Amino acid sequence: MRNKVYSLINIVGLAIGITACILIMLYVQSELSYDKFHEKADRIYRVNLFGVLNGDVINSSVTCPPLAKTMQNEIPEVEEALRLTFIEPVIRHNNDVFNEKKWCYTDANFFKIFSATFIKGNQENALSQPNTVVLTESTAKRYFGEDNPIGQLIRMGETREYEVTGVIKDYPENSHIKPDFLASMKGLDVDKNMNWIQNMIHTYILIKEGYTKQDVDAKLEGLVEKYVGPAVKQAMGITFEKLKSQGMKYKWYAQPLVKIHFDREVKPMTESSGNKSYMIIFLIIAVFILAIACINYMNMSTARSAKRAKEVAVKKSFGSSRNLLIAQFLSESVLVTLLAMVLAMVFINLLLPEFNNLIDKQLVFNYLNNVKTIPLMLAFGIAIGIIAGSYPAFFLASYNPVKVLKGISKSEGGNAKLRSGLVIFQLIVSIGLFSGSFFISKQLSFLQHKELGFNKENLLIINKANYLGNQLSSFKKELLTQPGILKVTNSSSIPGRFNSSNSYFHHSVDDTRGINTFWSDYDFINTYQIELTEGRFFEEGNQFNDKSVVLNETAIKQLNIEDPIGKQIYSGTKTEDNSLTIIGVIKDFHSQSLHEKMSPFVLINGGGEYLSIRVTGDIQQNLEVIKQTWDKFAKGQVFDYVFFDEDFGRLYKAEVRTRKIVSIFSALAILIACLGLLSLAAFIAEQRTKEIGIRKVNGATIGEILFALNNKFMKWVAIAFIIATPITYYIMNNWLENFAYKTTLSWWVFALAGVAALFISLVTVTLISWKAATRNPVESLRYE
Amino acid sequence: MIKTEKLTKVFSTEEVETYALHNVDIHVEKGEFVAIMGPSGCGKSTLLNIIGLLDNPTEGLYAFNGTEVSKLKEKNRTDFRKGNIGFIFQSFNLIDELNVYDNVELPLLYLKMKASDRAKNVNDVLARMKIGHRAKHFPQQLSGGQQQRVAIARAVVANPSLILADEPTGNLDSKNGIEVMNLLSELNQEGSTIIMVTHSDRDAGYAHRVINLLDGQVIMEKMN
Repeated sequence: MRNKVYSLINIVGLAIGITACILIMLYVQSELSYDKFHEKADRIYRVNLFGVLNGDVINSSVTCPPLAKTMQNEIPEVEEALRLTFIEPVIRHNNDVFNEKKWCYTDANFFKIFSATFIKGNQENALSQPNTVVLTESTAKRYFGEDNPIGQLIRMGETREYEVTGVIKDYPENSHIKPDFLASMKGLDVDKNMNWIQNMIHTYILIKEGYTKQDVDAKLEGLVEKYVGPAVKQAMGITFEKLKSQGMKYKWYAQPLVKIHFDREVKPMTESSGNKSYMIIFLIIAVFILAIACINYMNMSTARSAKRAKEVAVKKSFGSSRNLLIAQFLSESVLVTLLAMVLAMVFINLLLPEFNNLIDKQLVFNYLNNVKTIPLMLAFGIAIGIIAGSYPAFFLASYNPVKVLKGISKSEGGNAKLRSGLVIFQLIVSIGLFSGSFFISKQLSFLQHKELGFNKENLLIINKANYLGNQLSSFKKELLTQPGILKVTNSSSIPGRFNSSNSYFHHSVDDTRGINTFWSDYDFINTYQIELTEGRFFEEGNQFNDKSVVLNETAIKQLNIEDPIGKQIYSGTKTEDNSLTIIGVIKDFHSQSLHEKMSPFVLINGGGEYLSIRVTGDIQQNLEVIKQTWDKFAKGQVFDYVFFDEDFGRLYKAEVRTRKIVSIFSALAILIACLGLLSLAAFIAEQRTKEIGIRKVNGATIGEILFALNNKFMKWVAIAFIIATPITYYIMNNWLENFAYKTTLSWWVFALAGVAALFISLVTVTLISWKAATRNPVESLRYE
Repeated sequence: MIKTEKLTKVFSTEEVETYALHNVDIHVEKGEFVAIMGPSGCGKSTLLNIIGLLDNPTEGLYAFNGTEVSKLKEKNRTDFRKGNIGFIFQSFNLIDELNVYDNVELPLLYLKMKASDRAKNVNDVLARMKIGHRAKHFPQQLSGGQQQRVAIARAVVANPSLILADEPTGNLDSKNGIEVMNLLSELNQEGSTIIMVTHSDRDAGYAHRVINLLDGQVIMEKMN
C-alpha cells in the first residue's frame, strides 16, 4: 500500500513536470518559429533605417514610400519589393459599423513575397486594381456570415468603397504581420508620395535566389547617396557631406524576416514582439521543473532500493547478469515515465486553454494532426525514463549478492550523499525561483506605482475624437456641464502612445535634437495634472499653431537653454519662419514605459485625435453620460474609448505576463520539490523507525526526535540558501539592467525566500516525522 | 519500589477486545531481582512496558517509588523514565549508524549532562563491561554477546535505580548468555533493582523471586 502511494507521488510528480515542460516548450517553439511558415521566409527581408543624428540613434522599421519601387527597379538582386502600412479605420457594411484595428495597405505583389492560402479569389489579381481588398476567413465571416463575400462592397469612412476580391486563411499565431484586411494601396496619396526623407511606411523585399543580404545592403548605400542626399539638401540647405562630416549617419539595411520577432532594437516593435531573454528564462524554468521531477524519481527509487536488494541478490545468484538487471530497471523507469506521459497529455489538454489565456496566444497541441508529434513524445518519454532511471538502475544492479544475502550490507538506501546533493539542487532551484519571481513582482509593482509626474487614474480616453470635426468644442463644453466630469483636453497624442518626433535646435543647427512633439489644447496639463514650473501654459482663445511652445525640463536641458521663457527654438534652419517661442516649461513626466529614460517634449497649441477626460465618482455612470453626449454630437460615429490606466498598462504587458508565468511555474516547481521532500521524509522516517524507538526508550522527547528527523533537511535548506542567493542576485541584477528605473534587490527578499524554504520544507517534513516521533516506541521495537 | 494494583491492559481492535493483562497486582522492593515467566503472549512484555513507563495501563494503579504514574502523559512519562529506568532488549536494539561509544552515551545526552561528565561515565561503564577497546566500532562489527554488553552498558550508564530486561539472553549462545546473567547479578548486588522477562529457567535462577503469568494474570509467585 505504501509502495502504491510512493509510485503515485512519483508518477503524478513526473506528469506535472512533463506537463509544465511541454506547455512552456510549446510556447517557446511557437515564439522561435515566428514567420517561418512563409515558403520564401529565408529570402524575405524588411528594410530598416539606421541613423545617428546629433548623437541620437534612430533604428526604425519605418522607411520612405519611394524606396520599395526604386529597389525593385534599380537593384537587380531584389526580386520583389512592397510597401506596407497599418491603419485603424472605421468600416461600414450595410448598417453595421466596425472599428477595425488591423487594416493593412500594401502592393499587389504581397502574395508573391508572403505565403497566403486563398479560399476564394486568386492571388494573381486580387490586389491589382485600386479599391480592392482581401479579407481573412474570420473577418469575412464577421462581415458576411455564410454569404459569398466576393464582389461585395465595404465602406471606409464616409465615401471610399472597397470591393472584396479574395478571402484567405487567417495568418497563424506566429506571424508578425497579422492583418484582417489586405487592401490595395493603388491610388492613395501615399502611393504617389515620392518624398525620400518622409519615413512613414514599411518596406519588405524578396531577394533573388543565390544572393545575400550583403549584396543588397551594399547597393542600398548607393541609393542613399543618389536620392536622400539631394532631398536633404533641398529641405535643410546643408549638403549631405557636411552632415556626414559632423557625425551624421544614415543607412538602410535588410533585416531577415525571421529575425524580426525577437528584435528589441528596431522601433516601433510589433504588439507581439518577442523577448528572447524571457524565452530563455522560461526554458530554464521548464528544464528545472523537469529536473526536479526526475530527481524525485531518482531519489525515491534509490532510497527504496534497499528493499529491492534482496530481489537483485537472488536474481544475481541465479545467474542474471548485471546488464540484464540494468535493462530490467531501466525498462521499469521508462514504463513509469510513459505512464506519466499519458497523464501529462490529459493535463495538457485540460490546461492548454488556461495557459493560452495566460500567455495571450492561441497555441494548439494537435498530436493527432501532426505525424511527428506522437513519435516525438514517445522519444521524449523514453529519454526522460532513461535519464531518471539510469542512476537507480546502475546502483541497484551493482549490489553484491553475497553481502546482501548475508545481511551485511544493511544499506541505508542508496548513496545518501548523492541524494543529499540532488535534494540540495532542488532546494537551490526552489529558493532561486521564489526570490526571482518575488523580484520580478517587486520591480513590476515599482514600475506601476512610480510617481509618473501626472495622474493616470480616473482618466478616460476617446480615440478618434477628430471625427467630431467642428463639433469638438461644443462636445467638450457640454461634457463639462456634467457633474462627474472635471476636465477635458484634446491632443494629438497621449502618454504611452507618443511616437512622433521632430528635430529642434536652440543655439546652432549642429546641436539639433530629435524631440517628441505633440499638439494639445489649453487644458492638457490641467487634465493630466502636470506641474508647470516656469512661464505659462496655452490659454483659451490662443490661435492654434501660433508658434508658441511649451517644453518639458528634459527638453530644456537637452537643447541647453538658459532662462528659457521667451527664447526661440528652431526646426530645420535658423530662420524666422522656422522659429518657435518658448512660453512655458512643464515638469518632466514619464510618457513611456520605465524601460526608457525620461524623454524630452515639445508641446504646440492645437489638438488631434484624442480626447482625454478626467472624471470623478462612478466611472460606469460617467461613461454612460459621455457616450450619450457623444451620440448626440457624433452623428453615428463609433464611440471608441479606453481607460487610460489600462491603455498605459500595455507598456508592461510583457512584464505582467512574465511575472504570471514565472510565478505560476515557480510555484509548480516548488510543489513538485515538496512532493519529493514528502516522500523522502517518509522514507527516512520509515527507515529510522527502530532508531526513533530506541532513542525514545532512552529518554528522547518528541521535540528531540522531531529535531533529529528534521535536522538534515534544515541543513540542506541552509546550504541551498547559501548557494542560491548569490546566483539569484547575479541573474536578477542582470535582468534589472533592462530598466531605466529599477527596484532595489533588497536583502529581505532573500531572507524571506530562505525562511519560506525553511518553513515550507519543515512543515512538509514534519507532516511525516510528527507521526514517527509520536509513535509509541513499544510498537516500533516490537517486531524485529 | 514498584506496586501495581489491578493493573489491566486491553488491546481493542474493531472486532475484539483482548486482555493482555487482567488485574495484575505485583510488588517489587528496592534492590530486588525479579523474573517474570510465562508462555508467549501471556502479557510479560506488556507488563514490562507498563512498568518501564513506555505504555499506560487501561485500568488499575501503578505507583513508582510511591508516585502514582499510571495516568501520566507521554511527556511526563519520558521525564520520569529518564535516568530512572534502563532497558535491555532481546534484540539489543542498538543504533546501527552510531558507534559503541555514541550508543552508550545516548541516555546521557537526553539527560543534558555536561560533555566531560558524559565522557567519564561512558568510559567507566565501557571498561566495566569489558568493551572499552571496541568504543569506536559499529554494532554490526561486534558479536552478539558484545552487542548485548553494549546494550547493558547503555542501560546502566545513567545509573538508573531500575533495570528492565526483556529476554536479555534470547539471542545469545549459552556462554554469552551466562556472561550477561552474571553481569546482571553483579549490578543487582551493587543495588540496582532488576525486573527481567525470560523463558529460560536457567536465567530465572539468578532472580530472587519468579512471577508466573498466564493469560494476563499472575498464577504463581515463588521465592528462589
